[in-house]
Amino acid sequence: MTTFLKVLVLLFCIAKGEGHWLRSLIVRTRRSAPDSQCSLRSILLQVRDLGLGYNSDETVLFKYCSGTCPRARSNHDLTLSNLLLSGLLPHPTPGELWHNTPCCRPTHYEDIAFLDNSHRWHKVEKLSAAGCSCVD
Amino acid sequence: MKSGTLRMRVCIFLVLIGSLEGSSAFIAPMANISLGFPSTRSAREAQSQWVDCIQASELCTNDPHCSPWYRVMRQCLVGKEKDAMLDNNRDCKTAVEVLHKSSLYYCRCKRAMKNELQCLQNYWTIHMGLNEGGDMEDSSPYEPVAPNRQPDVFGLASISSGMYTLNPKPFQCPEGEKVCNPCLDATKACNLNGICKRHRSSYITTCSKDTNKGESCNKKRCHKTLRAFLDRVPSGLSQRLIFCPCQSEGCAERRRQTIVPDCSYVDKVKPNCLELRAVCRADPLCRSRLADYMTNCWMAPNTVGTCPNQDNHQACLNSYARLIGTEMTPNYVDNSFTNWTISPWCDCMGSGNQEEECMNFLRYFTDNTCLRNAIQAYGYGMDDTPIKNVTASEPSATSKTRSEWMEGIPENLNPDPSSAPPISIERNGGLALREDRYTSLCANILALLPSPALALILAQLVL
Repeated sequence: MTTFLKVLVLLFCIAKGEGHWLRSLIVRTRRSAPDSQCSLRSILLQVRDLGLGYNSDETVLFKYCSGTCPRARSNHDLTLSNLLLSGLLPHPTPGELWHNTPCCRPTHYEDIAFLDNSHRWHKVEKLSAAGCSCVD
Repeated sequence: MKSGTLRMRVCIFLVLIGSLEGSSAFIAPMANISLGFPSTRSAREAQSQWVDCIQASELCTNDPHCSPWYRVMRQCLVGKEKDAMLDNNRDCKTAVEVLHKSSLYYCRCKRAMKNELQCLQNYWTIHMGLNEGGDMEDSSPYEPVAPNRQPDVFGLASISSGMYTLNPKPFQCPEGEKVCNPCLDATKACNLNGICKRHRSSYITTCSKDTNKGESCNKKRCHKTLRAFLDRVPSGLSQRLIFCPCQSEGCAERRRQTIVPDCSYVDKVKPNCLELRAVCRADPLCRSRLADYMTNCWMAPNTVGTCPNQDNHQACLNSYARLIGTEMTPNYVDNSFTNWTISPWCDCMGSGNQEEECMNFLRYFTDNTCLRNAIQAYGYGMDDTPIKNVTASEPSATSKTRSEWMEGIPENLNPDPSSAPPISIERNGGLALREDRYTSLCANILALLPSPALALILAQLVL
């Protein structure tokens, strides 16, 4: 009985995603290039390198979303792809881009606050991504 | 975040069902700690003769001898005539006497416990009768600090050199760097930790309203978020921001600005220190924090050692940090890096014949050897390893099992459990605080399973 319940807990945890590091412990071959899938990435930067014009030496972890999204089977996307292939729709000019697949976008954002080199506090809202998903 | 908390709660619930044999002793303190109950029954507390004041208050309410006097006492303290009531009203005086003999008198509160304010209010219900406006300092309502078992070398040096360290050992930049800014490094460490970053952004946002637009900041809200920052963020990170040692004016100014003093500290008027103390004593939280600071950071002159609890510097620093965000918020007064001064926002002008008492009180901050030594020892401890003092305040049982599981696994700094990215950041000397509690909780659960069975199950599931 207790063994069964322990297995239940284990399955529950794995199913809910906490077991991803367990999987990586045991299996390193199965997954196909997880790096290219839509996921949260991050880069360590100084605030002045963000390009927003602030002069501050503080270091922040800037998080963003990138990666490929699986092509959805929605009718719209299928039809759009077909029309593009058949030539009935003109190809998008480089200036106007349109997508026939979902894109990898942040679902919610985080603010940051920092002290600049003149010792003034600043805050920038919604700077960093806090989670990613493939948006239709 | 809601689904995450739900997940965690379901995990705990399932484990509590499942562990019918032998593991309840392991799980119960963990569940207690994660749910926030004071662990008055846990075996590791050697000094557990005290009961927390919420429990003591329940005991008193259920006791027919104690309960009516407790009610009377609460009535006596309500309203503006409480001084008169306590002095003149016979029932009130009797209530004070009866309650002093009950368990309520000896109750204490655990620092950062779940219902801290309620516990403190219960404590002061009993003790408000004493020391009303008197010279005697309040005793601390918090649990007593364990004495320092290994008085550090710095402390011993100060004792043997005659107590007063007028020429402190200068802080050295690590690894031979010529110029360093420890306060900037502390900020970086905080920004790399999800919890610290979030709470820091929160209090900075609350405390820095745009004065150009004519808005002045809301001091009460600022203090509240400051207290939340210091309560919830591991002290290894938050104290590093407050006590970072400095060798330059820029660093010292950054350190002074840490608590956003323009909102949380500075005011249009600088009150008299005794007046500020009275205001602080009227608030149970501020009064408790002030009493705790006095208990842990003040030594009577002509005693051995500079800090109470056998030179427990860390206890003094903890008590100081908990004063920040109350009416008696202390801060560095200027950006001097060689000879800094700490003080609350008050002075002794217009004290009249109470000037000496006022100056004595102010000296608890400006001229406090224990505090000075503690802060210098903190900076000294940061000499060799800049990230040495980082410890996550998680239950010790968790960290032990976690280390067994985390050995071959790439470090994962991402707080979001739903995506699994390898993070492409530079390794910062191994700094990786694990604030993903769900992983560690499940690691604990899994540690309960016997390893061959576990290997079998995993092989079945994954392959």
